[in-house]
Amino acid sequence: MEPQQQASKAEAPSVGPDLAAVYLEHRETMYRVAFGMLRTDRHNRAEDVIGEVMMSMVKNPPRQEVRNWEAFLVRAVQNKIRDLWKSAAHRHEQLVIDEATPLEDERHGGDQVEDDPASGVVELIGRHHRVQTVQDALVELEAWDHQAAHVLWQCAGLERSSQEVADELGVSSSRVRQISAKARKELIKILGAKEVDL
Amino acid sequence: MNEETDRLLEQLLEEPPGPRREQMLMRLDGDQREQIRALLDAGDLVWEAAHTAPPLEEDPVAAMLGVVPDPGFQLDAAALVRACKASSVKPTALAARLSARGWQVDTADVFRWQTRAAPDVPPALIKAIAEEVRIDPDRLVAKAEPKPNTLRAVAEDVAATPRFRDLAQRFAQIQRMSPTMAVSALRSRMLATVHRGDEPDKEQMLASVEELVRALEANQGQ
Repeated sequence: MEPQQQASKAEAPSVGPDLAAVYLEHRETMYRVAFGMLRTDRHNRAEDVIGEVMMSMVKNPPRQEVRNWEAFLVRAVQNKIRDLWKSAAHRHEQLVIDEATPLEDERHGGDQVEDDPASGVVELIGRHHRVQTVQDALVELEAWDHQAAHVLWQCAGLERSSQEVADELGVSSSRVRQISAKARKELIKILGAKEVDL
Repeated sequence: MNEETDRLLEQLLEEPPGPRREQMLMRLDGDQREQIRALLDAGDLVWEAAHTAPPLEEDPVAAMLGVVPDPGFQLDAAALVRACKASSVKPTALAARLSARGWQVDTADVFRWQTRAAPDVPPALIKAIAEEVRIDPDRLVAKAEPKPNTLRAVAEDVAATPRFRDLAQRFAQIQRMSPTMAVSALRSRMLATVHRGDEPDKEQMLASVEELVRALEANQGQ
């Protein structure tokens, strides 16, 4: 078969952007949302959730025009995770949805994805952009006090216990907590200078 | 601050967000609570900064969608020039069409792809280009020699097995893509997945691909 003929067979009027391209642009936000929601969830992994979201979208692309893909994908991830939480296995283990759900103003269904950037979604996307500023602030913190930045990253970023970090640094755990608190205060100052209020 | 408050602060700094932390915060008076909340929020932002998407080449979802550049599936500059000519699609038009499909592409990129090797163009973008210049994606691909690497060598061994070819065929049907592209996507996925943990052997790689294809087929059957 001639290539031109082959291609014309597969050619369909494109109704929206390629999902692969959309994913490439927004995967960072999707991961952040999934990580945030799954922070205390020991059963589900962000990459599995996002994989399922994207696969189901490849199979059933949105029928209507999506005005805001970032909001749409955030919603899809949120709905998927809530569906997982609502599943029988999780109910059995008595994981209370609201315990791990930061947003109160959103429905818990996952049967339909909307791209209406409701306040909760806007807040999440805004927070995502704020985290990018935090990454810049952490570079400044590192320059200010290397050890404080290291301790903060280990304790708050990687959730290692102060005892673990203390053993590694050869100091007491209360010293680690002091350094961590000092680093947080400095980070707040740096963020304040960048007009990020906490 | 008294000793009890100090202890509470120490506990709070190690407590993840949630009702338990909120209950602990309620034990502090108003001003203190706001100060500590700011410290906790700063810590939460650091946690978020530490939990980002994996690098593209280690992202199994990206691999599955064909957005991880694959040394075994590279855009062929000469083939692209021929296809653009045959379909009368100018670089500016191609760039505009790809942009409309959501790809971050400008005319300079298209000129670059037409003049030299473009190892940064992922399979899914090659597919989009092929659709726009009305050609089979496999005809736009120059097979490049992958760099030798133990892991990649295992993946190549796996990709050469009849079982993998069968799985790639099934994956191609589900994803409505060409068999060559399916092989590329599954191979990238195998490589991305193994970054998560220990280096698997051939059988483990095949089992993981089989599990994925079965899950997709089951999902499709629903």
